[in-house]
Amino acid sequence: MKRLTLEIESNLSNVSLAAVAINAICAYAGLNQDKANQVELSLVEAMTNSIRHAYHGEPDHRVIVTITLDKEHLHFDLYDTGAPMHVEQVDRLVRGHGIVESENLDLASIAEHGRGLGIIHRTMDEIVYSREGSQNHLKLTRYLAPNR
Amino acid sequence: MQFEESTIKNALVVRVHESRIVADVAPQFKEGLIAYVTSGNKNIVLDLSEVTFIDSSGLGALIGSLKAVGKDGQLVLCSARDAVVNMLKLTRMDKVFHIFGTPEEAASALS
Repeated sequence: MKRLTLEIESNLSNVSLAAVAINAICAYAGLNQDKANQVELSLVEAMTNSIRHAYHGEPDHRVIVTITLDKEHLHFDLYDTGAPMHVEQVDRLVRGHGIVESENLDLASIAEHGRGLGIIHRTMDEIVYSREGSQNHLKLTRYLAPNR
Repeated sequence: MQFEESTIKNALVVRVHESRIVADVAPQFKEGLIAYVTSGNKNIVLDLSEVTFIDSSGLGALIGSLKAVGKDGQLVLCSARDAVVNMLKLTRMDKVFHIFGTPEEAASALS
């Protein structure tokens, strides 16, 4: 098992630094480029949510991502100490409730926001959210085998 | 956020000089695109050849720009890389945006 912890301050401009590192780690773990991009996208959405929604965009807070690689999994444990996720958001993220599978293609009805949780739900194999004291803990797992 | 403009046929081709369209730059991205619309451009081709990554905030800016164009104009995409195309497919927005291989193909389709 190998482990690395990344920490960024809660400024959206820091997310890309962590994201490109995560993409490289996905490639190191054996994921092909398309799947590495998917995982990077999920982690970008998750870190952005922490900054925007848990910390309400306030600077000077920490977002921590611990990456654990074993033979069959790539685990990402995200921690922040911001506001907890709402129950409806957890349902959307973990169980996919409320994700529109086939949006009406009428442009006027297409939302500009609100796709982040659905993207994470569709691209990660396991999603667990927990509130641990004053901390949010989001555990995202991507399987590595058999078809990486 | 930097853009480079050129004209092909009767289309304005806007090349995006940014590799990542994500949350911290999405507002400027949308603002820049809408400025082209409000200054009277009806046929806009967005050249995404330099964009290697887009997140849901960037996608939202694209959708907002497409809405700003309205029914009297067109905004289409070209030269999108795999990561961008796959993001559009993942969110089913590949059904909403027209994506062409080159700026010339896109401009021809708008003529």
